[in-house]
Amino acid sequence: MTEAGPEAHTDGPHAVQRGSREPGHVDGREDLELVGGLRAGAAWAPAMLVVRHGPRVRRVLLRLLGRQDDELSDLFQEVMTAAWKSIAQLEDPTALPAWLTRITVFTARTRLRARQRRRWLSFLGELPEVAAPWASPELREAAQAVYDIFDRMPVDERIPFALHVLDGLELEATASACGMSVATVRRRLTRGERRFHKLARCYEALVPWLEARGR
Amino acid sequence: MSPPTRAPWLRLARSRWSERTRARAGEDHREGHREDHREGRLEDLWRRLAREQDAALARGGAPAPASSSAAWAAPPSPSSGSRRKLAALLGAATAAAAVVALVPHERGRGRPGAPAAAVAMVGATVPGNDGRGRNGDGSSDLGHGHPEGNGNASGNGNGNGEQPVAARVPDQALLTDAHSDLPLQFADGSTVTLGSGSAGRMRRLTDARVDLFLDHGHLDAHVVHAESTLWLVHAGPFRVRVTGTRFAVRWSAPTLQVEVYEGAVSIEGASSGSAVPLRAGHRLTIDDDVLRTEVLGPEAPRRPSMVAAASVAAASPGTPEADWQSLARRGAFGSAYAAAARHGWRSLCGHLDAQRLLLLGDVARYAGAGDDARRAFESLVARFPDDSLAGDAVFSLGRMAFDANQPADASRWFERYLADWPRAPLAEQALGRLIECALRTDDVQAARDAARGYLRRAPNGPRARFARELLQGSSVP
Repeated sequence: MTEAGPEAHTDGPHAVQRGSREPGHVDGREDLELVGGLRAGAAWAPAMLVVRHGPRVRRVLLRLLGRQDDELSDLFQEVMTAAWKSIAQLEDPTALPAWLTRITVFTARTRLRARQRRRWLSFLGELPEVAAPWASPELREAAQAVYDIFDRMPVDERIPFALHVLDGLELEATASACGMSVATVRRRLTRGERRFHKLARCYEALVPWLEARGR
Repeated sequence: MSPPTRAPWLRLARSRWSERTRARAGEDHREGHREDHREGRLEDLWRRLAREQDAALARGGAPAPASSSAAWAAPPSPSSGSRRKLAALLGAATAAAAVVALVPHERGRGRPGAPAAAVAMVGATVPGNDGRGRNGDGSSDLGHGHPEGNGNASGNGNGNGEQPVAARVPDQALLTDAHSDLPLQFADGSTVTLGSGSAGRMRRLTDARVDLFLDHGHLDAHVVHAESTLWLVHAGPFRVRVTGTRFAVRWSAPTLQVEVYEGAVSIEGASSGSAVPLRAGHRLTIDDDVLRTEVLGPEAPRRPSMVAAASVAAASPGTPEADWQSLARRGAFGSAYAAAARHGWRSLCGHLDAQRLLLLGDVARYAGAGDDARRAFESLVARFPDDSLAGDAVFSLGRMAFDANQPADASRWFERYLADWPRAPLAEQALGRLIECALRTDDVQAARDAARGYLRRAPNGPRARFARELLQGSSVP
């Protein structure tokens, strides 16, 4: 089974694991069978979809939302359901992982926009956010600051930026996941980086990370 | 702390991107050089944040590494509510395609690598004990299907092509959506069908004992008599002890209903303290400690919850309308919608029965034809207002209005759903959506009313925290 490689959370250089995730982290032949099963209505197939690709989906959602709570679970369910129900639209079964990532990004984008609307409706200001409970104590403030900044970025800028810097997606993969052209993603990454640096200076927890190494 | 080594490809990719970014920004070399340094520090932060997120996901029940070929990433905080929602979402839109998602129960969390992190799949036979796996709580279970060592995790079973079942794990949830039944078949010939809108758990599955928990909803069972196997169906505080028999259990706290069609069962947990025997042809109802038995009438269905699936599956094969239904059952909603539309949408809405109208609406909804979906659902509500399926249609109408950003319309549908079907399986979701509808229309009082209703019904539901914040005034003015 090839499940281990991309999704395992074993010790070792993190970047190595991240590097093997996109695209097609499982054997394409297995995805072929899985897609066939989904299309044929095989009873085992939906759960196998979750088993095999759920960890990726969950990870991308956490990267984008920064929250590991019921909202993430809800979105995870939405992604899996949407994928299952629209599996007939997937032309190339070996592209299942990338296709799922696109659905995940689309779903997260919808939720992030809803969050923005809700925030706008709240006259007293922002809704309280969870203070990155997934982060260790030493990183928690920085993590919270990062996602505070993300919340201030336009959604279509935030998503490619988060995928690129946190999930290590290359430009082309980021563009594919976001359903944008490479040129558009490049522009948004540029703007996102500038915006992030500008806002990050206002957060004490991020100052050490902005200082030049070795100074 | 020295930073971990980055993978060469990633370093290269980042480098190229930085170069392009700088070029487009027109930065000079010196600025670019300084940016590189700064970005280097930030890269450490990105990497560490990503690593901690991965670790958190792993702690939250992410799949066991490597050895578990069929593993499920557990929700970080699964509640019964979220599991039901998962079922509702994962459930097949077609009645014939009953589907289950087996979600690790809370007891199985926090033990990465434990057998409970694996997942079972449904709808096919469950072979016998392979003598492996033990739960974290020490109970042993059957190794149904999917031997870990066979190298085949494709979902096609054990590699010999005979068993289409993946793995299994006890103490995990069995879930169905509002439209689908879940048939489970066991190696000894026993069958259990979890009815639509139900949630349960298979806590133990051994040669000697089967413990099936019905958290909500109903199930039908046909248990093949075997002296050596103890079958227990748990429903709230009650326990149905089964010998070879055919029976149905319905549980919606605090009401338990058991119907026995063949054989006999005994129900334990009643306030009397003694087991209550129930023979074939009888129904037992326990409601708030009031126990009532009655004789089943001749109209009692033999296996009621299977009627829905069967009625669609065998609805009218060979008739023109069977085309779109069979396509829908295969999940080809676009084609099903096109096929149905050829028969005339208005005509179908005018003469289909409730079950098929619901399917028709779902087909249109999944095909992206919102207007036709609404017509089908509204026809169902208008023509069969007393049918329980009308509740599903009302909820679907509310959900569609909600998704179309029409919160006032959505509110009306959800309120109707709650008023007419207050104990329906999606009531909790309807209340949650009502909160959001009220917020969208800036109706703070309505949002708080909905939040109170939500907390009354689902104090531990997925939106409970938000509802409390809302009532405390921290989320809205």
